[in-house]
Amino acid sequence: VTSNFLLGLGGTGAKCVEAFVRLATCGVGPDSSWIGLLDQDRSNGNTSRASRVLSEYAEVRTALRTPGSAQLGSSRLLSMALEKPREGWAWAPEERVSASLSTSVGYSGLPAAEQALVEGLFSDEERRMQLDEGFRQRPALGAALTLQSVTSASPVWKDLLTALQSAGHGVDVRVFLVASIFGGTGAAAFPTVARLLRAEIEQRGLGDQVKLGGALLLPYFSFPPPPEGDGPAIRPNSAAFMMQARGALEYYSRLQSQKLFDRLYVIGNDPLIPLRHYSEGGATQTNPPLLPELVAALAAIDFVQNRPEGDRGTVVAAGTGTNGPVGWEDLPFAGVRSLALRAEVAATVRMAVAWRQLYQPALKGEQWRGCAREAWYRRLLSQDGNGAAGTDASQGVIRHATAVFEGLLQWLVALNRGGAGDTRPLALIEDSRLAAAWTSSEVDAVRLNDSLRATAFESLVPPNHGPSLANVFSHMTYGPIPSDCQGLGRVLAVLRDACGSKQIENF
Amino acid sequence: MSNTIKSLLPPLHDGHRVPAVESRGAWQVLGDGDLLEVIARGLNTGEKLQGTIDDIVSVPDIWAQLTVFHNALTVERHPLHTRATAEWRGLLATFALAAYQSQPVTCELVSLSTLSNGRWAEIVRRLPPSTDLLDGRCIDEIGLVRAGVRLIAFAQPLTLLAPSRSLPDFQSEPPSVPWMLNGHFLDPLRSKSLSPQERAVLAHFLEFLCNDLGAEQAHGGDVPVLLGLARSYLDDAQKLGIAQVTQFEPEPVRLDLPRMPVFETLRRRFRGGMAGKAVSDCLVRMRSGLTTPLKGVVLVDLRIG
Repeated sequence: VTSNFLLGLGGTGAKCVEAFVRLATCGVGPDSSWIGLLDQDRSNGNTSRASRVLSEYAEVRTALRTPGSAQLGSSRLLSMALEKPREGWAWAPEERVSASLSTSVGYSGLPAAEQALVEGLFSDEERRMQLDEGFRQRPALGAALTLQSVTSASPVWKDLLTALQSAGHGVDVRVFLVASIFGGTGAAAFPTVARLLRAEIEQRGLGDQVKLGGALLLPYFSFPPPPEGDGPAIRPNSAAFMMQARGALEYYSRLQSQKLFDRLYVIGNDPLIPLRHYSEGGATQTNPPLLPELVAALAAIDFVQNRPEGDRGTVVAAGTGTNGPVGWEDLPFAGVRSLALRAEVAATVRMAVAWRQLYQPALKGEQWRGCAREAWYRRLLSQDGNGAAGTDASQGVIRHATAVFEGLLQWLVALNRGGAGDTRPLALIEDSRLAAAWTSSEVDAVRLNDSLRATAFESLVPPNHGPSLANVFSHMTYGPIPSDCQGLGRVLAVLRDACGSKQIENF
Repeated sequence: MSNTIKSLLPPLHDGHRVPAVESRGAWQVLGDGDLLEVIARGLNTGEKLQGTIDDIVSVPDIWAQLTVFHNALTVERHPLHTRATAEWRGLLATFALAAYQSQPVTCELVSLSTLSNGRWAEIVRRLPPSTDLLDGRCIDEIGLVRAGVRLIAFAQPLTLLAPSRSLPDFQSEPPSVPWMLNGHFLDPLRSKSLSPQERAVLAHFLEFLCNDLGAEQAHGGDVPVLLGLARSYLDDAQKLGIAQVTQFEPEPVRLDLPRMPVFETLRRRFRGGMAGKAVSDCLVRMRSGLTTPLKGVVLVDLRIG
């Protein structure tokens, strides 16, 4: 059972969770984590996308880290063990379709005094607002329904309480929440869940064993105004973000002064990153990955992996250089270790490209027969049986791994293309070498190039050069093989080793 | 060229006081909870927007109607401070001048901890706000203040009074008091309908309120702020001119308010006795020295009639 708990709240929280899982794919992050999503708008494109990414990660990791079958062994690739909440990745505070606050609390049947309390706290419009697409920038409503659903009987809460129980047995538990300060679900659930957790922690006297961290995303993007015409009475309005954020921050100031979070990471972007599309929620709300979400994922890693000590109630932030594009050295990853971050991601990106371009096509379907006599294949796969790559299980692993690696590349391309806005380029990867022009906000619409020139492969992750495809091939053929790997896990582990920067010197 | 550091924070206005992040590639402790207020004040909200915002809906708390009103009332720089102060004054005047209004003002006390079990009861009593008047403990007793049958406010120890969120839903109905417009209470001192006699009664009520709040000052926190607001209200009422009321006649009143001494003021209801003198802003005495049987003139605005 893990001691790390990450809860992504609302659409932004889901996007940060995706960034966390993408980094975990690269071997960056803790060895294990429970990850859950909370979103009233479960059809929300960002949340359903994060659920899919979590499922894909879990599936390929199981396939590549199950004793007796494909085994990645001690490779950092997909090293984080992922624990799924009992009731699935995503959880909605109010499960009923077409619910409103009124129907949810049974307003019409309440005693007169309680009805008056509802009226005094919520306007008629708010009481009747349909909640199937989230709380539409009315986090007070979200707070009400979150309070209603977070009970000792709710599955996600049970998981979190289990964490507290492990702390009672001496385990050092870290719980990290991530959400935006604006919007509906995330903004509502962030302090509400934190306050409920803090109350449980204090009640059980576990303040020393359980640390509560959070990443609060302050305004960092803007979107076009809603189109004129019919629409819900209460609609997202980016123009009011800053003013509303101010009101919410004053509220948070009081909470954090009471040391709600042991450590609170605050993240924003200046200028606000303009998104191209307006969405009222639902499946159409799917936004490209943005730099602050990656930074929030790094905040989660800092809290659960590096386990910083310090006074309870601190607020931390990060900064980037102002000259030139945002690069790896700008990312907050325990100081000089940002180079380690770059090294892990670079090795995985190159591996994903080499896999996609050379090794996956050679192993897919019946193609493995054509390379079964090649030295790299015999070294890495023949000991598992002559047709090791051709079994259904192996072909399944190939499919899952390809989907995860392509997803990683698409996500990185989308992030690098506009993750800090048009005026602030990112230089995390050479995205133009990886994919054609991309004008959609859909990450899945990023079209990866089918082949990459040899020189382009070397310079995929700036500023340093990595190994060439020839170096990689040499390593696959002659390089060391970790003893704890097996089957296709061995192929991938050696391929990733081959794609690390240190391989330049070795060959 | 030197590479200065830009914080990963939202746009801040010139002159903000948010501490600088000193290096890139690492997390830096910038402060504690107070820092969030510094960031809040430093956000570049834009002057245009600042003037037009009419509500803060971003506070993730079911008690947001109370907590936002409390913030707006007690923090002078809050964008809604002016409106909140006006509403607070309007609500206090509704109690002070209840004897002069046609709609009866009543209050029903609700204790959160003794509500019957149910979904809504569970929600409201789970994370209620804490208050300095209760030395940081959470509120439990709340008065539901009605004018006629309509809920107009909560009486509670956070701000004494706070308006109901549903008031604007009834703006098509005749207002409960003359100092109300579009579902919001206004500062009654800006209402032309308030007579010098009523201002005198209001001032008398506010003197009691100042005394009651003064007695609670030891609680610290917001209590001195509320006292300052009450004193400022009293000053403004006196500056506008009040009638020489010879006697404040108490009226019997039974209001089920939270059981705390500071709410005693709200139970005080008076009429100003003028000992036969008529006092009105519309009544103008004749200049001395004139030989006329008239004692004065009454100004009449036919448009009102």
